[in-house]
Amino acid sequence: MKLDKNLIVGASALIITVICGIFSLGGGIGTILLTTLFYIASTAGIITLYSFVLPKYIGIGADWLCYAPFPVMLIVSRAILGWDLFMPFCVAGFLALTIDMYARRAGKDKNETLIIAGAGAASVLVFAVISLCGGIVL
Amino acid sequence: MNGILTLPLKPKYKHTEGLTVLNRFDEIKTDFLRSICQIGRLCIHPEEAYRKSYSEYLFAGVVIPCLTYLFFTLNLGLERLSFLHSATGLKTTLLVFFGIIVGAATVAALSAAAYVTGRVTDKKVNGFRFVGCVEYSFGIGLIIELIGLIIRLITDANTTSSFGVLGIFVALVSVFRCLQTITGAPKHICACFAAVGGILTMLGLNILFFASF
Repeated sequence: MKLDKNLIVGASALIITVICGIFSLGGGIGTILLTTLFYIASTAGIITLYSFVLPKYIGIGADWLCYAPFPVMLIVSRAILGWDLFMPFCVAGFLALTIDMYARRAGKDKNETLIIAGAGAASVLVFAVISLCGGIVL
Repeated sequence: MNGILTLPLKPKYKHTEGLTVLNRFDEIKTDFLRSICQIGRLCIHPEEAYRKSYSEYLFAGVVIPCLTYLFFTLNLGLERLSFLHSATGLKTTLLVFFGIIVGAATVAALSAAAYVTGRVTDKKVNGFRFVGCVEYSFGIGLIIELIGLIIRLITDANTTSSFGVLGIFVALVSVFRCLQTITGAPKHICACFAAVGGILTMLGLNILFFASF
């Protein structure tokens, strides 16, 4: 099975994000592994949900390169600047993915303003609900 | 007799004048609303600012990032006032002005980074026009900053690190999209630009976080 480069970038970026997040909260190796799996599954789940439920409004799949800059920034902020922030990077990365999905949609004759604002807000809301349901507040 | 003749004329004249003033007010209102809608549309699709004449929306374009950084630094200043004994109103005001300068510098740095990315990919990017795209990209960030500030004022919650930083990063997402649309550069190069631009933005924020005002 040939691995997709896009998916590798995305998975690496997500793993880096979660590990940085867990270290900011101070967790063990078990917590890191479980949270990473949960985080990747929930993010991929939302992308898949959007792709199948709203194909006319949202492009199929996700281009994970849009997410990649944010883990880099997260590492720089922690290692060099000494910030202890996590959520803004995570949410901004997720918004970047959603906006990219919207930009790659098939038809462009829909009410753009409403959808771009709605899709971004809804994705963050769904992500927050899933995180809370999992009992994990990253 | 004259009085009878002039009586119906006076109110009619006034009424007509009133109507003219009302029509002019409606025109101004309509133009104003149209401009607001146009600015709102540019904030959501900042790449359209690249094709437009920059002088047309110069004022709004400059005001948007300045206001974004103003709300951010105001939020930061209020946070300092709540727990730092050395913080005063004057220092907070100075911080706000310094924030506006940092915001302008960030816009310039992001435009320069976009210009360099354009040169690297052999796609010509008009740096001056791209400034407009960067400025309008801060539109959504401005709303997020404003929401953060309102939540702080109502609930006294610390929203600088959540809403404040997120608002600035959302602007970065829009700049990333703009560069991709305008230059048509490969996504990995745009991602590198976003990382470099993000680090420059964070340096600006870092100066504000640790400014000794």
